[in-house]
Amino acid sequence: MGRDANTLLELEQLRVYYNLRHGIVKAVDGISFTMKEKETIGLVGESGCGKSTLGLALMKILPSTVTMMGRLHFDGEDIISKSEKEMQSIRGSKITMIFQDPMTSLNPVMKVKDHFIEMIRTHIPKISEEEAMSMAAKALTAVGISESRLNEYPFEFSGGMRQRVMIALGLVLNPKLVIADEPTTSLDVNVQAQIIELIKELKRKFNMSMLLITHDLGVVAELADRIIVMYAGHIMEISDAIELYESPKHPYTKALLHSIPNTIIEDMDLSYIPGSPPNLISPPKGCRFAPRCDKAMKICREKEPPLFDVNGAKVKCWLYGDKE
Amino acid sequence: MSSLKYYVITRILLAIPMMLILLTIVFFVLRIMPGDPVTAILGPKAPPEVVKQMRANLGLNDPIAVQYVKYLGKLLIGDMGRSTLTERPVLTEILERFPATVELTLYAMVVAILIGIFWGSEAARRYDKITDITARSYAIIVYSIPVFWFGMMMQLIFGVNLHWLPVSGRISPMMEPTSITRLYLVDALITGNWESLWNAFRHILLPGTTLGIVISSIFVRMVRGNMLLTMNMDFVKAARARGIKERAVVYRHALKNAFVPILTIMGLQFALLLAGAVLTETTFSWPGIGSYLVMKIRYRDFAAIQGSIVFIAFFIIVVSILIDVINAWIDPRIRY
Repeated sequence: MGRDANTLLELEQLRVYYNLRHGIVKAVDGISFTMKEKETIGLVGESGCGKSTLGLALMKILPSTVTMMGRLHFDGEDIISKSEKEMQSIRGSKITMIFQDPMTSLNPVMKVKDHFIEMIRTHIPKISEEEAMSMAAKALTAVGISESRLNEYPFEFSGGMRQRVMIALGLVLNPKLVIADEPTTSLDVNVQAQIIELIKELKRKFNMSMLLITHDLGVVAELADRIIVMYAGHIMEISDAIELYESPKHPYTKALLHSIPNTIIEDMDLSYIPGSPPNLISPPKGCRFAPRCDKAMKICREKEPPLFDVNGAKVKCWLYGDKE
Repeated sequence: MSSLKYYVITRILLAIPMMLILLTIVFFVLRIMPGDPVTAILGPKAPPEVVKQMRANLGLNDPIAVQYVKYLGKLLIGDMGRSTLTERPVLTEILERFPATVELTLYAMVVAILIGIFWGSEAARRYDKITDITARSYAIIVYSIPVFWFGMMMQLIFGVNLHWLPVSGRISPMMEPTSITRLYLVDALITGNWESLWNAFRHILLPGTTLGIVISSIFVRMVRGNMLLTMNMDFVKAARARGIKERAVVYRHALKNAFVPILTIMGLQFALLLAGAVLTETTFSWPGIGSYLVMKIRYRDFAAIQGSIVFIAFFIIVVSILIDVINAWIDPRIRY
């Protein structure tokens, strides 16, 4: 994979394994993709498919029982070989993360301003407190919160407001990449819409790249340029966002799209995917989706398919390849 | 910070009925208890006239309700009566003994808190690693050792065999520093009396360390347990994701949040020690409240027992208010 001038993130055969007492959980098992600057990629899949692990792996904040293998380059730098200390200087300044639950992601005994000051001073040690405060005020205003609220504690904010604070914290140092792990999942529907609008606006304003991790296909549709569909630690399909919605290729993607509640077509029954994702300690041989796939053939259960090129998209399914 | 002020005032007002209930219980329990104080003082063979005279002097012939009201009224002006044994005011006797207990308590608490916080936090940080396993074993073993046995072993090793440290008392005779706070270590430090300081320090080393180590076992487990809870919370992960240094993540984010339950236990333990570490004080002949109370119980010195209990209870209430206030100061959610 060649590196273009504007490639930001490059993954090649990335594997993230949890070494547990009862076996090795292959949460991310050989994932390759590249991300360009200013691009937003949506990472979609069911719970437990490895998408959150992948997000944490990009920042290397995983427990010590985890082994990472393969290639992971960010902004031209090899992340896997970096020391914990080097990673600390990258986290928060070049890569930041927005978490799922804003209610618990802020330290309850610290004022909002102290979250900002602590972070800014960690990365820019020589900055004065006034300068740090004005940076914090600017970031907070950008997410639509009055700077007068810097002096308040997290519990004085509502869920949506806290997520705005988290986003402001994520953006205050102008990171190159923002990883948003289910940023709207735990919010009310109307607050969800507000946060999505906010992220859209900030993306334009700050020119940031974003990896949006979610199981909500509606959210990705609003925000992502490209979509990666993950299943059981593997990439099943990579495609442009519009293409994916208009003509999904992988049977798993189709099944996911069919399971979105749709209020426009009233008569359509909501379908679901029978069965549950495989055990990642001993995943099935062949295609990992085969046991739940209604189009599964003999080869699917025997041999793992590669990613086939199909009209610009990449699909990991034998339906699209020559089956020798 | 008016919400904090309001909180403090409420807590103090709530303490008044608490204290009153306690005084009442102490009073009545002592009246119900078997054992006649007059017989205890004069012996079983005392002539009946003398016994009668004594009963009248002590006010024991009054109806119990009258005795109760008199007792409360005197307490208000700080009069706890006189010791039936020594005839000296109980409060004076207690105040003589109390500094020794405070000194021992403070020393032991410093030892216990240092061990507890650092080892407990590190154990949580290195969960299931060697630091954690040793911390857990330490806590269980030390907690189950009786403090008097542990104290005697310390005396045997460092006092009797090695001759390094004195095994009893607070300070050598004639070495007392000028009295200011009546805590020898502090007084010696203020007056710059290094000889006294060294002497007092050598005396407190064995009892203080013994007590501190025993109590640290509780703290190690408490800190470890609460730190494990907070270390797995989302805001700790979020702080890491912001590039905050690991030490700050552990001590500023996780520990500060774990502190509310930890501080409550530490404060109660502190108050309990102020009530006198009876076993430690007795083992090391430490002239504190604990050994005082044991002696007075042996002689059925009602006034002194009652006085000590009230005095101790008062301190426990003061300390628990202090804990509440500190907790409210740490965690804003409590005071709003």
